[in-house]
Amino acid sequence: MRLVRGMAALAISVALTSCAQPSSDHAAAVTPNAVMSSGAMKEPEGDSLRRLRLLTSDQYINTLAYIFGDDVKVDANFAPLPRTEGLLVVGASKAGITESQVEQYQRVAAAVSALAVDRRHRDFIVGCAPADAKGADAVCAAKFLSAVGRLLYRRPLSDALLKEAVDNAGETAVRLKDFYAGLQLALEGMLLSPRVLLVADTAEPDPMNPGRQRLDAYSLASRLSLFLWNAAPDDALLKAAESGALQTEKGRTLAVDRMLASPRLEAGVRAFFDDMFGFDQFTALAKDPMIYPAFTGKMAADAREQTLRTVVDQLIVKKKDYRDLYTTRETFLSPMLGAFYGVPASTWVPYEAPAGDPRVGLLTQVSFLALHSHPGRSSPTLRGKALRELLLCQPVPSPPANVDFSALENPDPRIKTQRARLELHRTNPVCAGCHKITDPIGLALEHFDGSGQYRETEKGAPIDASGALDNRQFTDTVGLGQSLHDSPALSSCLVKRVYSYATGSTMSADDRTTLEYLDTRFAAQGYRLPALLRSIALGDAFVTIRNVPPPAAKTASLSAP
Amino acid sequence: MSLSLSVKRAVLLSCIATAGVLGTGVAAMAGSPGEQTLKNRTIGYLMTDNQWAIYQTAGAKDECPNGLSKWGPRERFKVMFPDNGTKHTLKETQIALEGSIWNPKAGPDKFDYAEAGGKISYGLNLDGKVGPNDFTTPEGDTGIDNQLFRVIGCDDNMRGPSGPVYGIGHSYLRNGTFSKVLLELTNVDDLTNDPEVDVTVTRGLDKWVTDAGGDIVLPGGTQRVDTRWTKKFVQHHKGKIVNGVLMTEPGLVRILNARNRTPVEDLMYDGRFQLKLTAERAEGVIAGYVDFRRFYLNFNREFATFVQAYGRSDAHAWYNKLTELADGHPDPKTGANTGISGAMLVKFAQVFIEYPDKQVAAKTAERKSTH
Amino acid sequence: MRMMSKVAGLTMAALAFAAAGSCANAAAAPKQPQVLADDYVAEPLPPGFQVILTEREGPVFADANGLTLYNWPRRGLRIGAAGDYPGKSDCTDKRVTETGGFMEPYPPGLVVPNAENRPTCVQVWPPVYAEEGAQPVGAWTVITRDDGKKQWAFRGQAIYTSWLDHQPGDVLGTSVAGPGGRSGGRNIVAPAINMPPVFSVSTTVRGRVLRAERGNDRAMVYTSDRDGVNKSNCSETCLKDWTPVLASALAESRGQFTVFERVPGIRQWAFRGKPLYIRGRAGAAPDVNDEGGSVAGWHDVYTQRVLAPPKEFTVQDTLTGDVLADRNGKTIYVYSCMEDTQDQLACDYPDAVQDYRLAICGGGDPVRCQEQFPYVAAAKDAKAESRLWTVMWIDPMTGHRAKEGQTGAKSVWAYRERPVYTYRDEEPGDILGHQFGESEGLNNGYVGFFLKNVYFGRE
Repeated sequence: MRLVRGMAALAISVALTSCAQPSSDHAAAVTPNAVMSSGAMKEPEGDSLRRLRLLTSDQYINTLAYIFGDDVKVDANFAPLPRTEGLLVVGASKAGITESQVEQYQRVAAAVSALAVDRRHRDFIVGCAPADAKGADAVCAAKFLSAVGRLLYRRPLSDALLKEAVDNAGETAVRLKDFYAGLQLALEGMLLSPRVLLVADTAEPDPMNPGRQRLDAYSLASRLSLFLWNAAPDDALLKAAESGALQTEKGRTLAVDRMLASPRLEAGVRAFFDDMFGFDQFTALAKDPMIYPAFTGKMAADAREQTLRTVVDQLIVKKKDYRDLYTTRETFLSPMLGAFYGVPASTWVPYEAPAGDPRVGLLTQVSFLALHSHPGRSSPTLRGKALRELLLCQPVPSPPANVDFSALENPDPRIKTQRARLELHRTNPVCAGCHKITDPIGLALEHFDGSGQYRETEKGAPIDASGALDNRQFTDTVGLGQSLHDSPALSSCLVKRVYSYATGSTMSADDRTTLEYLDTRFAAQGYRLPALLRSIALGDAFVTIRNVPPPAAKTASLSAP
Repeated sequence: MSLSLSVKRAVLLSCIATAGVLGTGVAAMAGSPGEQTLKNRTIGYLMTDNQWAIYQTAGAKDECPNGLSKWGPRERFKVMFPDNGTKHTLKETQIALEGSIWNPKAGPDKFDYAEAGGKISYGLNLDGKVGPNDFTTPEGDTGIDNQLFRVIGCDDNMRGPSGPVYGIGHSYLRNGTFSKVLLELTNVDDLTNDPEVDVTVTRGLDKWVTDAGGDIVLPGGTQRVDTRWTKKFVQHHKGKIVNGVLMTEPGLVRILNARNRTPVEDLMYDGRFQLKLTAERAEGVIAGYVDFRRFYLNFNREFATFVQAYGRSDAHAWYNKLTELADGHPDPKTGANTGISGAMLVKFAQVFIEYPDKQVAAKTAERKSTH
Repeated sequence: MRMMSKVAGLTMAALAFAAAGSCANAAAAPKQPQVLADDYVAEPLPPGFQVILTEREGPVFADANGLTLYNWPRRGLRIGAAGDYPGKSDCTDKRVTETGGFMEPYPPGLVVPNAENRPTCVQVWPPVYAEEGAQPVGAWTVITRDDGKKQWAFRGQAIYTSWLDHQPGDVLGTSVAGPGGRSGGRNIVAPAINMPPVFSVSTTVRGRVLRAERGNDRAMVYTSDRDGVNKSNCSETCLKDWTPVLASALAESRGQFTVFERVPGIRQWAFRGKPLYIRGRAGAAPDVNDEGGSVAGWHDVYTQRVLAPPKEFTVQDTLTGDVLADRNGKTIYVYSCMEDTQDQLACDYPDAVQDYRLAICGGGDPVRCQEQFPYVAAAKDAKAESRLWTVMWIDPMTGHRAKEGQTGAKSVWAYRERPVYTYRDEEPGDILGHQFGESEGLNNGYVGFFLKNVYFGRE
């Protein structure tokens, strides 16, 4: 059954590449109800790639806030990562570090290290006092540097590294006659270490499975923590790694359950959806203030927050079915959004759209609608494309280089609505092939203008909001949301993205078995995100490292610390 | 009508107070949010602009034929205490002048004053008469009583948009946290014509929603009512709407403001609101006999002498002119007028008004239902 | 020398303040347990110097006689600047007789009242001279004045005492109009408070209030009646409105601040065992000056509180917070004054020239003054719990001190040895006399005695 479904999925992706109408996966797909219950499912053997990746800005900031406190403000706006297979975090494995980025890191490292040992902070961060503040004190320096080093490097410092840091601190302290200046320099050096900025998976032979490799305890702790909390491992997780408990089934289960129960899970879930939904685009989002005066920078920020809050509330707090995100009437409104919706909101308030209201699900939230529009008008094509690519994992080819857009931008005042304007997409055979997989989706959202505000008419003409998703027709957003909800690609896409995010890797044929298993399990568990996170975090593939023959070329690699 | 209305109102208000959710059907989403803002016969507005009404022409030619204010504190000081080698004492100069600002006595002033004139001014016909000192509005309404305009109309500080006092006041209204005057219209059947509506004035607590430029306040925001600090300033007025214009009956009008860093209350006797209403905005005047001593006290508390000096306002001259031109609300003992006819030019944006305290909401509902 | 934290309470151990008589929200505030004072960072001191615990300002540095130390850092005025550059003292024995024109729009060169008898800066602010051969200690150095004498400095700023202070614990040199009022730019010199860097403490009329950093602002900090000792019961719905002040991974309990785990892996600060929160969500704009203080079951946090003002006084709600008022509910005002001279001497106390005040309150007429801003009468032997409130004899026709029995003398309430006043307010809660005077009442005028100025606080 899994095989049939998998082939159907493959058929869809192949079909899309050549812009043929995707086969009706609704009929061919095997529905979750037909699958065995989760209790009877056996996890297949799986593995994942060993990766080297850059910490993202947020991960770095979250880690420093955890270690030094929220008041140690970090102005870290590192270079954007390349989005790879739908995720920035996967792009972190491809990112290089340029010279100007090194300068950025250095600036941050200098600022943070100075702040951490200044007069106000030192008594509450350093944890010991030197015998003489005007000179070196190896004992106190070692105490501090090993404590902070462990948290920064995500594993205890080796004796060699610690000695090097303590010696550096001592030399500087003697030279400058200031113990804290020595600490500052040593700390700055740590903050610039590739071992801190880059997360390197370290593998070791798996004693439970001879012939296989597994992540070592610290790499497992890092992978778990970056996945679930978007930050480096905390003290408790490192302790579990140190004691070996993390490598046991029971210990790992305890650790994962603690992380899933923690308020810090929210940061991890937000980071994932922010990435998956492409919300980094918000920083570049601008609307024409003449056409959309109410769409300000604050509105954009509130729109992003609205969606993330809705996701967290529905999936983590209320533990609802993931697919219901696209049909739910529940969301939150800020004062700005309240003004937009015409609803009172003196602060962020929960809001439920009444029956009959066209605002149902994430697709009708300002974030989706405004991000996937032009500065001065809506775009069914962009919205349809976004739905395909972000939510269904179905890539849509770019337009050919020789497209004549002038026909589309026809200023003829008789053409009032977008639907009429896009008639060209339908009638021109060069366009129709691809556009019929995007436009019919986006046209269902035409009651929302380019800023996400509702409109009854466009330039005086009534709006026809009927559309289709593959072979399913609908007349309004409720129908669109339901079609999306019912599409098996919706859940399988999420599974793929979450798994890819968790392991920091692109997917290949080698991951298929694991993905199918997770897919089926996700369905059997009611499409609940915490359950999916747990399945992944406790899964075999998460901790087992794939045997990949080394490349022929000479490469440099980080030796284990 | 009254009883069921008050019950409905209390229920409505308690809904607002708990979740801030108002039912909106699909029809409710039609057009901009403002169109559905008259809900349950209630609509709220937040004051976004408030300036003393001055009719201005290009170069002030019509209203200030003798030019704008010339004799501010700096200029007067130079004439009164010339720099000719005489050593002046603080007591006879600065302290004496400041003392007389805070303990004013009307009397002859040797410095001439740029009194505003002309035929046109904003405001209302407060006394029902058309007299020789009255103005006509730009729209042609006659008998307009606005003697305050004569006092401040040619004062460089008070004229927009670049007058320092005008500008500082506008800036504090926009960026401060205190000046949020709310108008709640209830018992409204129709925003175009309604013979009997109620107007409640309160103060809001929340930041408003602006456009990208930050200066235009957008309709549709929400304001919680301050039920603690300014509850004694809550006022009720009766009014009517004729052809889209709200007019309230004369009464004591109290408007809170903080044009600089001082919270003050302006008082108008026989004051009334005249506002052109839409579902999204309101605009017009609040006019009446401004308590001139309170006006004078507030101005000096809000704006130190060095600010007055920017635009050459002089408190002594103001006091003289206010006393001379006061034309209403006589003191019952002395017969001297305590009020000077005047007006504020005001603008409002529609907001949803929330009462955090249900008890207060219920009490207010009871009062409002008694016609 | 090892840096240590130290709980204050040296020579003034007797000043263990019971907080029961706190002013703000007198009816609502629960009786608090015995309050310890600020925990300050002990620093090496020159011989004889000490730390004195004061009722309102917390721990301050004092000289060998226990007199509070002040500095006068250079600062810009509306025109020009006044004060000491680091390493120098601008406070001389030269008698200044004319204004400096620092405040517009009046010109400089006007002869000040009582010019021939005007005190000099060093009379009003005696420099703390260093003995021959004195050596620097820690952050304390010795500077050479223009007159050749040696003077102590702390972190580079020359230090002084005030001729208004007479006993240990007096802090009468600075303005009464709160820390934001004009005090001629003089500040108290005090030790750093031993607290986690995310917190700060500031002096208010009610006591020393705790704040936490939130982004680029400082937000008020609160505790909840529903929490236990180092235990937080704030979860779910509570967390929608209140954000715990979290501690970093490296933070340790220290002094009066403890770290505890509110949930596994997440650590929160507590002060004297009470978990700490800010109002609202972490990313949101801070309170408008203490919205959280009005919520039942939640309280501001003070490291120490002032003692009770006169029993007959009341508290009234005004437009912008609550004020102290007399028995009839009339708002109490304080008078603030500073001369526009290079030495920036104050003119707000009874022994100073009264011309400034008499001009403002009565146009020079003391009778009118008493009608417009009457004194607050006090029974001659009345006492308040707080040492900040005293009864003094005043000659209302001159504004100066009088002897008991002197013709016309009145016994009146004084705050920090400056009489307080009411105004021609009409109803309880009126503040029509607030900012009455020059420069919004701060250079020569009256401000209301706000216990909490919610919208325009200068704390």
